[in-house]
Amino acid sequence: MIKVENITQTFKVAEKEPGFMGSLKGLVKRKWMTKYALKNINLEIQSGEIVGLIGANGAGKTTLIKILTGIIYPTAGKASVIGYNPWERDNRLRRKVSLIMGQKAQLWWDLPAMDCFYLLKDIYQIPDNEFHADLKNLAEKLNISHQLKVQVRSLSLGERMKVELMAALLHRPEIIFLDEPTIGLDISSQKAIRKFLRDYHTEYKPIIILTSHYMEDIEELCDRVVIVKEGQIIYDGDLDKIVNKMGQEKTIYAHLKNKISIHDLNQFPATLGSISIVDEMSLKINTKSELIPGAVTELLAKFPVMDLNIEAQDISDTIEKLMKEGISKT
Amino acid sequence: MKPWIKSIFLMEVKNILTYRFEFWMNFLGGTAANFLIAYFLWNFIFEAQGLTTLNGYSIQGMTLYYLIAPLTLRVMDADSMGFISREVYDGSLNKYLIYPVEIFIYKWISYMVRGCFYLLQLFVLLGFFLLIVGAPKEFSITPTSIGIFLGFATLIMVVYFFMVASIEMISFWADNIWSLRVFVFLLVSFLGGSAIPLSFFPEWSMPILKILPFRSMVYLPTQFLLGKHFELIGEALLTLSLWGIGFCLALNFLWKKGMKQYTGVGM
Repeated sequence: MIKVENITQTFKVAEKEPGFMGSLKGLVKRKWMTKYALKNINLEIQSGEIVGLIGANGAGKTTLIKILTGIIYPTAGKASVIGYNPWERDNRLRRKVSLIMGQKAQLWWDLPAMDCFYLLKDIYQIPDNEFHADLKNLAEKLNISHQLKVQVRSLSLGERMKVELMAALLHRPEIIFLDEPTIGLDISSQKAIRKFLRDYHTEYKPIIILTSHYMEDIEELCDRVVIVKEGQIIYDGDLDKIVNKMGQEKTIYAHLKNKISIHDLNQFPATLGSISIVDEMSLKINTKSELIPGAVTELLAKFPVMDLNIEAQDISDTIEKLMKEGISKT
Repeated sequence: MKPWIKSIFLMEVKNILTYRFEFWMNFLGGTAANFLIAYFLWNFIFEAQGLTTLNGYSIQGMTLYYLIAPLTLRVMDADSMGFISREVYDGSLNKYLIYPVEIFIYKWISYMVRGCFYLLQLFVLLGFFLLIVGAPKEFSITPTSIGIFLGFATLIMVVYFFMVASIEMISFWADNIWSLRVFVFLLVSFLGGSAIPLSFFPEWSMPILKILPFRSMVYLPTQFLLGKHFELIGEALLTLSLWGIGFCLALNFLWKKGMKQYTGVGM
């Protein structure tokens, strides 16, 4: 179980005036500003949960993960990760935690993955039989057995992420922090990683805390989401409830006979929903269920519509709206 | 011994051997350039002055000194420039904070493996020198002198590690410490006697050199290997031990303070 109480994190950031004179001044005197990365965060995560931590860049998601993995000290507040204070870096805790960073390789760049795994076997003191069984099992499930003797630096991004996953799971962690594990991967690699994580969670039931900008990751893996905006939690609850909380929103997609420009969109009344261009021959309108008849009437009257399609609003649109407009905490 | 210590040792050896070109260039290239510059310079000085010895060194002895002293410095430095600061700046330090390992044991083993690689280089080149040029009359390299040198090599790899690791800790506060590290390296090279033997330094500087750790890091171990100044073994041990304790305490203090500044950037 993870418990976070009133965690606040500030950073001192240097300010430099632009231009040559600014650089000269910076050599003698430097101005500092205090930046809040997290403000009074409270959070509880129970055993076996998969929690999606989402928010814009710089919202504070990764800072929270760094605190919970003991990489950095918070400015204020308390945290307990399966009974340990993470920033005391007790080895008993470190043996039960894993962190995977999509944007940062943790394996030894110059060595084949297999050498890295053997080192991790010794670091985590994994028994021989358990190590070999898990190695085989993970390599087969991730379909990467043929690449384990290749230098990590020579692997493709997707392959590297797979061996990073293997490395992070060999010691059977109770808590897995995944920081954008699918970033930069092609669609099929993303799907493979998601399927693997879902199956792994079903089998071993670790706590998984996931950050991602890809809503497919969140939708497919997480039952619970925590939305962070400017260092504060603005929503913590079921993914399904977000949609209910924001109202039954729908998206109307219209395919047009002629090309339209962005100026043509002004003809659509804002009271009936928000309209935007998908491409030069199609547009979409995000609106509430009860406004659909009016919105469709206006759409047909004002635009050369060839085809119409009404869908439940994409979760990413809902969350984007949430992050812009905010919501009271659950 | 914890099993991961042996694994890190072997992994670092593999790291060094992974790149063949880099391995051979490192093994021979840099050393050959330094050695030839010193040889031609001192040869010119001896010939121009019509000298057979200078401050107790023959030209062969001086050449041998310039083989051993810079390599002793290299054993001690072991490519440690930026070995922690680089990881503070790019966030790779995170790895050591997440894995259940002691970061300074991990770092010391990696550093020590590189030091041992240069130690091997030193003895291979020394062997070639003795085979081709022969042993200078003023020196006496014996199993005892080699044993004493190896003991000191181990000790200086501990003391110097604490020293440079403490300096690397400044990266928690400063934007870039590369110039500082280069400055410290040049200072150790000069005050340690790698650039010029300390017996050429003015008399007034001797008390200062005795207090500082650098003489006991480069000049005295080189002299011990050459079979000279065994009477200074105790003094060198005491100096290194006291500085080693001081650097160790400084490292411990700076690490604890520095970690509170660490932001894990690059992640």
